[in-house]
Amino acid sequence: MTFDINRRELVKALGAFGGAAAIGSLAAPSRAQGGPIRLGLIAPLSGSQEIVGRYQLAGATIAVNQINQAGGILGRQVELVTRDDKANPAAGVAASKDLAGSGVNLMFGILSSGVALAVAPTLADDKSVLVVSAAAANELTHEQYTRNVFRSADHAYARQRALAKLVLTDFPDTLNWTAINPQTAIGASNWDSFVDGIAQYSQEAGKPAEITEALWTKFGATDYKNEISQLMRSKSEGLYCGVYGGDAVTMFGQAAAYGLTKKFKVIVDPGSEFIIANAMGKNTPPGLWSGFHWYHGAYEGHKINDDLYNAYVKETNDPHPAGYVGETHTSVLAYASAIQKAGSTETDAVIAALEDLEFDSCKGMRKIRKEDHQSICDLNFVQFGPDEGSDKGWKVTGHRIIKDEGVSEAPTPGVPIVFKHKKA
Amino acid sequence: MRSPLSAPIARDAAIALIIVAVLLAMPLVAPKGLVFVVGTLALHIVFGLSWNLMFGQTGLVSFGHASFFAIGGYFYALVARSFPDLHPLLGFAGAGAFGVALAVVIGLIALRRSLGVYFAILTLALSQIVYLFLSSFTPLGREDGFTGIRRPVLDMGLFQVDLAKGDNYYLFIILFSTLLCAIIWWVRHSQTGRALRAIQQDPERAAFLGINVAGNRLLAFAIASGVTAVAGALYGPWLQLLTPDVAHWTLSARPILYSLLGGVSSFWGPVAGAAGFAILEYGTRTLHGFSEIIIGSILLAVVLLFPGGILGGLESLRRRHATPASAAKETRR
Repeated sequence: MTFDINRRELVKALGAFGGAAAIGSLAAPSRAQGGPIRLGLIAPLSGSQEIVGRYQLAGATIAVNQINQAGGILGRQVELVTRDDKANPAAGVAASKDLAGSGVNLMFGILSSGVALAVAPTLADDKSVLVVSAAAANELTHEQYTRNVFRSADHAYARQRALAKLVLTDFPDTLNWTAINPQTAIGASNWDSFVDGIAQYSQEAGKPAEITEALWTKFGATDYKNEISQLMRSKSEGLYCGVYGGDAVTMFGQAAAYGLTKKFKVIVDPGSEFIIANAMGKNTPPGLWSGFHWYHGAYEGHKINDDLYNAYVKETNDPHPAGYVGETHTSVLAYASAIQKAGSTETDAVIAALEDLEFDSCKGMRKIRKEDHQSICDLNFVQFGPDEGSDKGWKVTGHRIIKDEGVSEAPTPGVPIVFKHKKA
Repeated sequence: MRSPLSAPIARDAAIALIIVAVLLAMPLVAPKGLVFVVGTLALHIVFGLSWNLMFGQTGLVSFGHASFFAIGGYFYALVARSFPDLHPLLGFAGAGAFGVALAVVIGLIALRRSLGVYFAILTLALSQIVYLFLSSFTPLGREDGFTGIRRPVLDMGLFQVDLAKGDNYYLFIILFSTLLCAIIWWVRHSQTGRALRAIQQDPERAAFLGINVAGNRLLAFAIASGVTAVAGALYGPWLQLLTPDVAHWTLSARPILYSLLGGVSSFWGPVAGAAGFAILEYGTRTLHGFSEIIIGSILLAVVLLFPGGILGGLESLRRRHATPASAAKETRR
């Protein structure tokens, strides 16, 4: 019977597939010194966070292509090896161990702080290095610091304090702030950092600001109407919208009907980048300041920035690369500089070379501190507004670069961050 | 007269010995990524076997079994952080005891009143409560998870084993999981196991024969929950982090998939199912975005073509290919 044969074939195929998978996984490729330098990207390449993971992959791919076209590193070509962490800590650990087992000791990427915090303690045993390209949790360079982890991107404390500096410069009379934040560690950490900045810079200006207690919402909430009603009764003039990503889209979508965006004089967002504007279109809150990992428009004329932007647009036809593109691009450049400096791809040599490394990137020079492995770099912000005339419904109305001059904390690896200026 | 137990003991012990020997040798031959996957697989095998102890033996369907995995994991992590001098084996045992105690309380309410789909929905609701609690309770790390769970040092009196070193924790997981699987095997093949099977076939007749139906169902639920809680406790130091995702319904679906894929009627069904699932996941890990589609399609095909799962399918293939002589011999048996 045909049906029986098909079933048998299916069983054989299944067996062959399972067997091949098992055998294939056992055959770990060796680390050949003469072959290409293999860099491992760990990013959410499937699942709900893939919308960000695709930017991380694009930035990494462009950087590797550019390096190879320029002759490689130490005369060797660079090969990008990708692994999917699905923004899930267990999958992230499996991915990093898989890379280590395949001879890839130099890794980068990682979007979610949860994944980064899970992967970090496993790296020393696996003799691997991780350069974090996005995860912003302060803990990574403080209480959860390990020698094998570096962060080439900005972190929560610096970004949010820079945002505070920006609003107090542009709106010196907006001194009463409130917030709506998600109940996550990064949500709390972002808000604490922002309040710390507001307290310090307003006191220095001689006009101390007032903070009204923040509203805390469930991460992934679908109904913000109660919180929006409370915000509509608030006496504050400035709103810090700490809910990010898809949550911010839901919140602003519901807030439009209440006129929330017109109630506050200033609205800021810690880092949703283009997500809110893309989702809100013509309803984009006018004057919304959003934190960016990297904003290409702020560095026009800088060769690395322009080459990256042009390559991205050519590849994707998308004129609005998210900052994540720039950050994975930067992590590859950090490795390229460190490998060049060390003359080797061995873990200890690369770690030593990454410490105190100064290198150029899409947003200018960065320095990775030796003490806590945190990168000191520019902080980027973009202002959005509605645009009736365009198809997308929004436009960029301004952008700002804040230099990290005293914005970041002093390095204290192994010790939790202290918010010196924020009142308990 | 031959004991009815001797044949399965000899056969199953031989199979178990081969599997355990292969797993213990893994760090010597396999890359680290695969060793991590296999360590996780060992805990998932315990998870699948314990679920099938309820379903395969008594017909109880739980849609929220991951809640006990999470409860055990967080219990151990909290105890280990709060009492760093406590012997880790007491911590693991405590997680199991906590899982049993909670299962007894829940079972006393849920099992007396409802079975079938009602019990399934009740357990699903329980897992959602656990999930929401873990995501909003600050001392347990909320959405960001319980970080910094250390692999402990085992003080065995005469000597100490630092489980943080090398592959020690992996070997510990394999040995501990073997013990947990042996407990489930023993329950299945004991007098309790036979009572549970009688209840599954016909609860009314079993009650008429003097079997305590409610008590035995509660016992199966408590044992399955306790064993799962220990597996969860072992998982915390393995990942060195726990997030509320371990209580999510998607993890509760895993033991169901393992049992359906491998076969619910055999002890080894969930073992084959979990191993098959892990091979599929590992084999498709570089096919970003297609992995889930491939795994889903294969699962669908297996479940539709082999209602008895992988083991049931292999058994029917073996029968079909058996020579007429051996078939006749089998018939005469």
